[in-house]
Amino acid sequence: MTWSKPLFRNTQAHIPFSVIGVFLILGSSFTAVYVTKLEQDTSQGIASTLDITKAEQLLRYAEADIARMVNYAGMYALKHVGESPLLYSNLSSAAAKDYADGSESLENNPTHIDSEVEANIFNMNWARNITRVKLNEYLETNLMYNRCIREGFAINVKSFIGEWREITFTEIPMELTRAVSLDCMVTEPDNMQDDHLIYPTYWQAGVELTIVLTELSSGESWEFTIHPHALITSRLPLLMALTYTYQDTLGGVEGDFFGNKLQILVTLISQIYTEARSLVQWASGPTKVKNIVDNTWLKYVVNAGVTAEQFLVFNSVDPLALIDLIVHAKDLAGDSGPVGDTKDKQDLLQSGVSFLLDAGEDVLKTLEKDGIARDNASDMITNPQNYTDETTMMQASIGNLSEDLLYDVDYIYYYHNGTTVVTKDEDFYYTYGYDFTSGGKHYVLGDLDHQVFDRLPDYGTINQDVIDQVEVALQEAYVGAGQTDVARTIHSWYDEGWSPGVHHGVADKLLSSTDWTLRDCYNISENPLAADDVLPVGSYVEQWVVLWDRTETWEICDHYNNTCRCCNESHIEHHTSLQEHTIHFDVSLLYPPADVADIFVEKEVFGNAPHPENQIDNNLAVLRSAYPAVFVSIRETVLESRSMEGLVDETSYQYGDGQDYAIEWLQGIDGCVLEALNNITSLIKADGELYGNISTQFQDYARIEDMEKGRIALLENFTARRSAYLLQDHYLTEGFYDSAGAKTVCVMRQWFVDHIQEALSTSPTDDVTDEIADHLGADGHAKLKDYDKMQAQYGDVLGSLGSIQFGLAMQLNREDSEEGLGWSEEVALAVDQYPNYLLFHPKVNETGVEQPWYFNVKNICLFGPTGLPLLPIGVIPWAATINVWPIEIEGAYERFKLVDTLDETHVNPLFGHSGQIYQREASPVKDKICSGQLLGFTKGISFNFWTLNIGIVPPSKLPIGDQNIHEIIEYSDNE
Amino acid sequence: MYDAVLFLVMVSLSGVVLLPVLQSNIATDTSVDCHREELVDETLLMLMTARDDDFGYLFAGSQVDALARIIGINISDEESLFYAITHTLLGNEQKHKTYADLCAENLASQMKVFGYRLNIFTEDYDIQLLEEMTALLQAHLGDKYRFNLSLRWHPVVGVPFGGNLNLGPHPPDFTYVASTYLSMPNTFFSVWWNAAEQFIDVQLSVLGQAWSNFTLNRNITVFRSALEACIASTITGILFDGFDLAGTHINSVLETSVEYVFGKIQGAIESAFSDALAMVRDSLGVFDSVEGYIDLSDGLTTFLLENITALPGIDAIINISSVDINGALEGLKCYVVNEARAFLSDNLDDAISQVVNRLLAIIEDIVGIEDMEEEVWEFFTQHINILRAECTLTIWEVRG
Repeated sequence: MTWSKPLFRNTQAHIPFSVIGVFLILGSSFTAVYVTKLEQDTSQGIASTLDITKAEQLLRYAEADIARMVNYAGMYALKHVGESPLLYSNLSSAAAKDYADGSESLENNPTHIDSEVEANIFNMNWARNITRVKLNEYLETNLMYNRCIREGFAINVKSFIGEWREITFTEIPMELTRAVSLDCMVTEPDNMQDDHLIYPTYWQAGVELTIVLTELSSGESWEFTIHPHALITSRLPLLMALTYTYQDTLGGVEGDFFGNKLQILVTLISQIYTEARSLVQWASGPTKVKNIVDNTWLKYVVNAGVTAEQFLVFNSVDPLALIDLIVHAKDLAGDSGPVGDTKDKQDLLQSGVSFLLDAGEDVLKTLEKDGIARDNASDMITNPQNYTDETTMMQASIGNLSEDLLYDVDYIYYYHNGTTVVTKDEDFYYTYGYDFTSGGKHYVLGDLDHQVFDRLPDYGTINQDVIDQVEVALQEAYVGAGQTDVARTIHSWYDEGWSPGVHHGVADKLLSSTDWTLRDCYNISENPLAADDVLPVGSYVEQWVVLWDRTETWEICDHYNNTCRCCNESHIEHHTSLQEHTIHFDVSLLYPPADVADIFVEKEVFGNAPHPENQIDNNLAVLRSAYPAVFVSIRETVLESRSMEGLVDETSYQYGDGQDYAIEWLQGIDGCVLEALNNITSLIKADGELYGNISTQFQDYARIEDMEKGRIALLENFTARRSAYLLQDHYLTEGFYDSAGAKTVCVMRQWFVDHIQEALSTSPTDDVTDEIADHLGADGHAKLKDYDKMQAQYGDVLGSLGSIQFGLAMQLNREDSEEGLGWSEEVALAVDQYPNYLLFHPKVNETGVEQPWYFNVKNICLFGPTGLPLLPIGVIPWAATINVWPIEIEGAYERFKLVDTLDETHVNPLFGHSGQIYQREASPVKDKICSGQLLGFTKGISFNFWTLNIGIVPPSKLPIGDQNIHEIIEYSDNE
Repeated sequence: MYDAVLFLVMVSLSGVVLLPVLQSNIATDTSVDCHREELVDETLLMLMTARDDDFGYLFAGSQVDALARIIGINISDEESLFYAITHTLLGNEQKHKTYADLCAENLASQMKVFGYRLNIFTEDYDIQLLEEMTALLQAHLGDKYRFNLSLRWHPVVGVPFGGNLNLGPHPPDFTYVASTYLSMPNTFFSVWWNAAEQFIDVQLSVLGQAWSNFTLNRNITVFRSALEACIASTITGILFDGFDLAGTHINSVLETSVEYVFGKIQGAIESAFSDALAMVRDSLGVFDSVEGYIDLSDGLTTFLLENITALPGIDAIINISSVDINGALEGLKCYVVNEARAFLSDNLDDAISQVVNRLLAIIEDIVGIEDMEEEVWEFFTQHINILRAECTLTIWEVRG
């Protein structure tokens, strides 16, 4: 089909322009809408991307903050470990075994942590666990329970970190370049790699966590696994490693003959000095130089050597040690002996960084470690009357303590007469004799080099307290062994149905009667009667009927007379009166304590423990004697007696408890109870190593805080062994004592262990404090309180401030070849040691216990005061004169502290920050943060070596050697 | 002619319709906004992760400088012995800390109460940190943007105690903001909070008794009173009065802070300063001043006394004319606590009422004391967080 004519007539081009215009408008409208929509779509796309980015951003924030938490938790751990690092452990606790993680077998004793490698692994694992605990605290506080809500999302960590092995620690080694170095005088072979000195400097911590991101509006959740890690900004690993280097430098390493650099240094210096002094003696004669090799100048040389090594290792020294070297310079003169004023100076300097106290503070110094312990011990001997038993007990062993609780112990107090050699011609001896008693104490003249005091236990006498307690335990175990309740019912009547009556107002009158006669007695119990010698079990009832009769004479009034007064009208009758007593015996045998399984069943509960074998433990014997003796007797008495008046009467009888019957095999000096208590004492003594390890850490208890630490450590170890001493498994089965005897012994064991524990829990601090306060005069306690308060609050602060860096900064470089990353930084250290200057001090005290610090020198003049002339030839008498001095030197520092002074990383709200500390001081190491268990011990720096000095001088003159003939072998005396 | 005019009109209309669309920058603006949002987020994240490998400040720097000026020492002379000794003794350096670490640790060291900074010895920390942060942010954002960084650590919500840092000018209306939480370092407050948690546990046991009574008699009035008393005593104990725990009195958070700062100032600083400097003097014999020896303890004591006695209203607590430093510090402790109590008392009543009302509102849902305890714990953990600070970064474009 086709159109015959056009739809529009377009003669003037009106329609095309209009149509085009309309299309233009429509097109532009459509275009505008489309472009607008396109832009909106684009914007929405960007916006939705923004939402996704926001969620990702929140995750990144969370991960960054968790990394910071890891750092803070790690820093807390390293601070804690640095203040008390573990150096030795016999792995006596579960926590210690866990941290050792098998590393104990790497070196030396395979069951102990006793080498640097093992200790490092242990300390790192310990730090990982502390990090875990602190990190969990952070996570709980900040990222759990919807406590972190941002931008409409809740960010939570899914779960705690359960195991320290989930925390990874990676070592970050760096190259150390000392500002001043003398490599040949520092022992660090393990750190030398390709001519570079590499030291572990940082640890990097990492952990895997699951983060749950929840959109609060929709409730929709997503889980993400993140691996935050952080460089722990503490250089404890470096401090630890450098201190081990220092220890090796002073003490040498096994298998390396030249490892002991201190030995080399001291040998070199002393050899030069010996030769110089030999020449001076040769040239000037013996009056100028009496002893060529003298312990006094050797002491100085060793102190100087130690300080020099300290500088070579750390490029820093303890400034007070340096000052002490200056003020002790007179020691180099040799024969001068101890320099009096230098000790005062040292005290002055040391008190300079201590606390400001008033004049009474001198008394407080008696608590310091420097030689005072010996003086105190000496004072204890010379003035025993000034010391109470309690004070003496502080030094007694825990085994002795347990004996003291058991027995009435006598003590012998040794006295001395003012000299170390006991002689009989002293005034004191003539006055008092060999032994005497004063103030209730027994004193005996003694050899003070070996014993301070002794004890003489009197094992024949048990303390009354123990005896009383056994009685109590017995009564509690053998409680209420038996009871019989008796009830009687009486029924009376006359035979033939007669009964007294009243006639015309006058009652019949009983004129006389015979005695009651037992007519019959029979049992009406529902249960069969038990034989008299057989103990019934549980509740047992007997019911008896006893029939009594008698003949009574009655006056009966006349029935035909109106008055009764007329006896003539009366008549007499005889009647038989009967009484039936129904008696009920309720025998309740045994009320065993609820915690005793069964005291009637015979058991052989003793044997393996410290008890007689096959001891039959029950109280059947008691009841066997009680039942016939008491119940049967009661029954017979009651049945045969009419003494009970009234129609109904009740009473009860008890018998057979522990109070009435002695259980001889439990009681007394040979009884099972005491044997058990003695067994505890034996077990404690067998644990001597466990307690001895602690006592060696605190030795003299020269300071109250040490004494307290020692006591607490003893208490903790004792508490840990408590179950072994109680031995409850032997007496208890499923929560019940096997028998009354078992209960008695077990309760007594518990009482005994409790008493020991209580004794250990009692701090002697108060007594000591009182003693000091008395010496401080007026307000003594207040002064002490101020001192303690300051020490507790500010000791740490002063400690860190007192450690002033006195040396040079060392360079640390990190090259990461894989990632091409690296950095450089500096480290400077402050050293703080005690003592600052080693004075002669014995290694062990009078009681044979090693001291916290010691220093001894022994030199032997091998060829005596003349020396040895060599190669005698004709013209001149000999070629040279020689003398040789073997020298043994040993020493130990009580405390050695290293502080990182160029990276004060730990937060201190008052000071802003404080540096990382690595401190070695003889003390037990306890896992306070995590398990609360004892881990092991830390200790100071020590050294011990032999060396040799030779003096060679030209011939022609003698002598060349030590002229004091009494000191051919010169030992260092205590200063 | 008319057709042409009509056509031109229509073309114009089309232009009118299209022009706004063609001039629209919705996508561009959105994209720019997105970029700026990302920029502020990235910048904040950078603060949390980027490390300042060498940061340092001088402990008590302001005080030492003031003292040096008094005695005539040129503090700008880095070669001087005074400079060397003070920087050796008092200089603090930190390595590899993130900027967030430095900020958080600064907040922890301020101990501000009502804007009054208790710890006056770390002001140099603030100065050095703000300088570093400003330089860092300017370098990162460039000249095109201005910024405001605000950090706040208020362990107890609503109590103006803790620390805060503000950097940059006040932001205008249209800005880009990013904020996050920052974990705080462990300090003595963490130890204190452990004790406070135990105290809350003890208080909850008291509440447990009240709950038991309520379950028996359903007396809501009595229970409400018990609840209010329990919550009130817990809050006031934690904030103001302290509390007893196993026979030991534990100071409140305010008392703890005041005691910590001023106790140490009193007991340790003067000793530490004097002793440390005296030791150097004794050792080297060269640390001379006008009078031969600088007695910092006297200077500090005077400084503290002047500041404390100048506090408005302190004369009601201490005798200004005759008080010594110990008395002044004790008075200051009471003063701070009293001021805080007065400031907060109204708000506290409201807070206590709120929590009580909340508990009573849901009391039908509480089936046991465990639920009640959970609610109370929720309240305290929401309002006390020792280990978290808040950080907000605001940026805006510089116009003109």
